[in-house]
Amino acid sequence: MSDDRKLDELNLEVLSSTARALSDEDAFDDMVASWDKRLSVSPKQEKDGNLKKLISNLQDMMQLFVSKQRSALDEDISELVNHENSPSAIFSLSLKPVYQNKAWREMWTNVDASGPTMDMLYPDDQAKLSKIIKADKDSPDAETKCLVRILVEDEDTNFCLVSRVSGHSGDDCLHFAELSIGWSAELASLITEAYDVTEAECDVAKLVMKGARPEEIAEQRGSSVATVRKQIQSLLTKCGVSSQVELAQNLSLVANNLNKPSGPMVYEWTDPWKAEKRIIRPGGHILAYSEAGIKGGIPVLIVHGEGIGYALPEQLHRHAQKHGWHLYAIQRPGHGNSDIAENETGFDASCAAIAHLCNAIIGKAAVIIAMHSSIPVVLKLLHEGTIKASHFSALNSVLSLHGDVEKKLPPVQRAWFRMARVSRKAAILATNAGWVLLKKNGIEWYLERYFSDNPADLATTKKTENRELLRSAAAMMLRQGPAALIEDILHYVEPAAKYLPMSDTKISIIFGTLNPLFDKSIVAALQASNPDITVFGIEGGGELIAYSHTTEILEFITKTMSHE
Amino acid sequence: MNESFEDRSESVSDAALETELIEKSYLSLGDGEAFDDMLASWTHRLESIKDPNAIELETPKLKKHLNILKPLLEQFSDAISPDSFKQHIVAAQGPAALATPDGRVVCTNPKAQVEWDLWTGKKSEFDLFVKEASDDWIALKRSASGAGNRMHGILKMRSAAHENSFCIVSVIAPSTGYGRLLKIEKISFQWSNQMADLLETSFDFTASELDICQLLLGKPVLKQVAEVRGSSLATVKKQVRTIFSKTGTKSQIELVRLLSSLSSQLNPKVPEMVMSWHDPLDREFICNGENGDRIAISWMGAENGRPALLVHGPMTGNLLPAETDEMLRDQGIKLYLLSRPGFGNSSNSLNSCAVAAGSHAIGVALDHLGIDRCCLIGLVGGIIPAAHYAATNPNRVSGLLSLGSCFPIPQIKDRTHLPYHHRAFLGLVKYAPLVSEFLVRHAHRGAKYGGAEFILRRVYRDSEIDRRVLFSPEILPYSFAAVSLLMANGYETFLKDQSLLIYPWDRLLPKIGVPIVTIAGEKDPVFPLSQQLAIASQYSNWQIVKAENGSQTICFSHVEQVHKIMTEMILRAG
Repeated sequence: MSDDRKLDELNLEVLSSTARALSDEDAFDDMVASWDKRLSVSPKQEKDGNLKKLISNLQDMMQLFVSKQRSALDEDISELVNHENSPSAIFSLSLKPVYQNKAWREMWTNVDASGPTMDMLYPDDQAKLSKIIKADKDSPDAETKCLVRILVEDEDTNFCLVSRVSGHSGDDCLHFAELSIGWSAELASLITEAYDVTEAECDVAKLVMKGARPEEIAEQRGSSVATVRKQIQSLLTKCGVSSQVELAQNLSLVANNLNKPSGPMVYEWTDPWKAEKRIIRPGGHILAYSEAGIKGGIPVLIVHGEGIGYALPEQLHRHAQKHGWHLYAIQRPGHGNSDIAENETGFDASCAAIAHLCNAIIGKAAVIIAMHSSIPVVLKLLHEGTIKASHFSALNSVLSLHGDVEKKLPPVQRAWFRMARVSRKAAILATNAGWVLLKKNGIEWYLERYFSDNPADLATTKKTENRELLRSAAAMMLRQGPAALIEDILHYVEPAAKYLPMSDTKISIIFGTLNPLFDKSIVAALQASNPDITVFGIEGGGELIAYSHTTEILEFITKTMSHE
Repeated sequence: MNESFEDRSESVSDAALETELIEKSYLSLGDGEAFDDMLASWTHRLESIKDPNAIELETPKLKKHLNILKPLLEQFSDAISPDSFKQHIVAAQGPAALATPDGRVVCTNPKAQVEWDLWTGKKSEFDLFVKEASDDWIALKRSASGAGNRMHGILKMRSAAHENSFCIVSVIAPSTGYGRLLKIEKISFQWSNQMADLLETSFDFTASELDICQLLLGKPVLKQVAEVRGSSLATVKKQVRTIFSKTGTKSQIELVRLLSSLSSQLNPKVPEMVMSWHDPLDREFICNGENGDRIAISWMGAENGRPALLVHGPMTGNLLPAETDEMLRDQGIKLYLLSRPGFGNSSNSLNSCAVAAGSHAIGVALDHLGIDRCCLIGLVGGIIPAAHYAATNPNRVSGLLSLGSCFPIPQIKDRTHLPYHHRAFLGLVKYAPLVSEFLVRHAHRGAKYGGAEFILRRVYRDSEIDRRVLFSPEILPYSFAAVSLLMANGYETFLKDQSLLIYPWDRLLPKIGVPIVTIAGEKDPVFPLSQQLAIASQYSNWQIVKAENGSQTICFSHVEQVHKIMTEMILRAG
């Protein structure tokens, strides 16, 4: 078989397995395998027209991914809230927030209070909700829905329809849907044309629909009650109804009809620290970060890696309180609520964002704790002197993934890394297929795949206390789509080892001894490259040491700092 | 040496073509454009073969991929044609319909079929609104025909007095260049058992309180609630106050809003579209053949007129325009409209080919109707089973009239003039049945999920004239009805009908003694006039009448010419 034909065959395998992967999780593994095989054949991709053709074919298929994504989403519990224009949210059975839509978040002006606690409910309703929560879900007559009233910040009563729904991996969740049909610009323009109402009448109609009395309307509009009554009368005539109640109902009918699913779906994510701040970084993009710990204490900046790392276990916050740390956690561009520009690479954007946070917000040399893919970014900034750090701790980085290290990667990660390097487009396409399944099967599915070759980390992901955190961490990464993940993988292309020798920053590299990428030779090489580097191997730890060995890591960092 | 080298190079290019085909097939899952690319690849592949009989088109590799592809077709059904007429109707929760400015239905959803008795192709007065709304309705209809700019209306419905229900009527242009249509969508809040249960358990409502809530949701007027319940206004007011205190609401508006929102939360599911055929003329009846097969027949024209039978083609539908109906009535002609086996409500006879089954159905119909002898009219390909019947039952047919050209094209060499996608479909049906099935299922899926226009645009892609006719607002309902007739029984009908056009009916022609008249479109790209003339000239009884600037849809575009020849032929007979 000629080389060309062999490549053609491999291309077909990729195409075929990708198509299947969209609906079948077993085929997802085939897809990864076929990519791995395809990319092992021709390492000199730049000149490879054949690969270009494959990528262009896959790109044509993008259409399919996009539409399929939408239908896979229908089964996802987050869809229940994303589709709604009115406030809607998913909570765990212990009333911890899982997903919230924009309208829900806007309902609560106080950031800390974004969910119903039992004392926000009428006493009667508490019992109703408990009944739903405690219901035996296997029993056929179990009640799965109830109506409750929530007191939102001393204002009006909000009715919520609560439904118990099954979430991923067998956990049940509670879906809260606030019962209101809202006013919209669309509704205003429709009734203006259909009923030929004036602008003032339209305004009055909006208030009538909200249930305001003529006196209240007059006060709000700064007009007389008589004028308002005249306007209401005119509205009733034009709309062909006989009372304000009927008018309100008719407007609700029309509004309900306009309440169609909105725009493209994104994963909703909220800062688990509940302390998010948003600023504009140079270039006009939103940069989101959170602060915690002791104000004015030792500045400690935490920079997350690919997906895992923002949420971090509670020990971090206790440790910060005890040792007087002022914690900062950045959401790197493309993750969480930080924007990335279309023409920016993830690496450059991360550099710009971290530099801005360090220099404009923190304002002095901080302790920087960076994880995984963000390590090369911080090293480069330190190396170039863009930022200053009093101490730098790198959690589990192999710095870059060239040569021998690449070969050691588990197959899934290797295929992705190679794809990302060969073609961002191809990698994004393949990630899209995974994305569809992820939305269908939940974040646990992703974690299980990602750590499939790593029993220590797999065990960490399964621990109940970590699940909510990991789910939040993954959602942060996924919120902005597959491209962000690929950008992060590409951080490893940076020759980070080159930046290691630095005169004025102490560096500690902390790794899990079970992380397959760290072997003695790498550790020795790291130590040899710079006498200021301390290497700390955590026995029995894998990639997720930030979760499995939080206390050890924090104590090690504190000890190293006090030596300085 | 030289020869073997050539052989190898050919096999390499075969393999490359095959790879391309498979690639295109995967891509075609995604959208309609890629579907067309796939057909082009197939035409290319078929044309590269000198003797299709001597080559294995369906290689094990191709078969393997077809097996992977087939189940994916259904899974990615929502991946096609986001901009479709149907979308406007599918998205509706209540009854909804799309109609032409003169009130002919283009498409409906299942609720509209039940609640309003509206079917694709049917003409309706849309007598749904209260008197006061009729001005709005007229203004909107005027806008739809291009003589106004009122685009939206909220029209009160003439339904039962205890329900507030409205229609949002919008003038829409579903596709650029094809005129405007009216979208009529009912909006109302639905009471459900689930809603009753929920209110009962949440607020401890009594039966009469629930009843009041249901009435208030329908129409929030206390006087009417009292009337319907046969109690006094004071009693109802007292009960409503209890409802206020049980729910924690403070006013009627708040209560009504709670009920409305709850109803809208509990009814989010949009009903599925079902493929079915309903005769828009409401005249269909079924006659049963000896083998238990069912043949559906409808009719146009004069109830007791002189009979004739219309046989439709694969894509034509069996309806003629309303003017033809009137003309036939005036001329005293009763034109029976047959649904061929597998189409509409006629059962699919699995064991015979489309031509034999069609011909058999003609016989069953004539026997059932007690017609000894009459004129058979074929719409394009419909002339083929009609010719088969005329050749095998010479004394029961007085003449054959074909509306639109059609001549035998059994061999690949006869089809070189065809647009490429027709060539691909017709070529594969004989040489690669598995592929043919895949393509047909693909197209069927396209029409099922992407709307009738998915098929219409492809079948008529090389004929601007036909597309203009079929998508013009007046004809659109007939075009959609034609696709429903074809789709009603699944993709098998479509698959089977592929063999109709490649049937070698030139063998039958010498056996037909009665006059054959074809009204041939001057610009028909599928059956070009020059070829139609050349073939007809071999038979003394085959007369061709040219329809100037016409193509395949002359029954809609050349109504007067059709009327003249049709009456002549039917009335001359016997």
